[in-house]
Amino acid sequence: MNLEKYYYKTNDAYFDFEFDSVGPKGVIHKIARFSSIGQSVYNFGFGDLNKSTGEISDTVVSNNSDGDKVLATVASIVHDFTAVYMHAAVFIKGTSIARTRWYQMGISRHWTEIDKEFEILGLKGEEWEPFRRGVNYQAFLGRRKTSFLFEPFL
Amino acid sequence: MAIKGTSSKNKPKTKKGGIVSGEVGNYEKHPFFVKKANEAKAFLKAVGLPKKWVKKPG
Repeated sequence: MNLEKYYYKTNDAYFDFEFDSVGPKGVIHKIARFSSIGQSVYNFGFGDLNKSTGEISDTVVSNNSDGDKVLATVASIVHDFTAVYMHAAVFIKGTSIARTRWYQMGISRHWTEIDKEFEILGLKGEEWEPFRRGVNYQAFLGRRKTSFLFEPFL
Repeated sequence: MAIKGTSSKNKPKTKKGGIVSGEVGNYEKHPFFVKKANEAKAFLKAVGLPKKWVKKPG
């Protein structure tokens, strides 16, 4: 996908990523991290860093008029992470329904490309099902297409 | 066992968009990400992983 995205940096472990969103509201420092929550299962956390206080928030609506560019950067970050940790499954759940829809719209919009490399499941009710466009999900799990099996989640 | 902490020297050489930089911190213990990870863990514990992704017992 050749979408416009921000220049971003990561550390040697490829767990933490940073980039700056630039728009009418100024420069907003974005942080993403993949936190291990089970055998090869990682939570994708994403928020705005307040450099003065060190606090990170995912509840602030930035309105920096660059949502598509931020989403493309997030997609590229997930792509990078799973290129390094090939067997990793990434769990994504927005902090609100609106934020989860934002991720869903991003997946839907680029589904043709995503589906070539990734297996994406959406949680509907209490069941995980293969991602389908137009269906609203509560959360997502994605991984590179692989036959790797996980230990039961305890 | 989770595959974390692998040396980048042994990682597959694939095209990536990100630049590795010593300026990027390690946020593993940042309260925000600790909270998010705990919430996600509790959520997944409740709903479980997709059955087809999980090893069958025995």
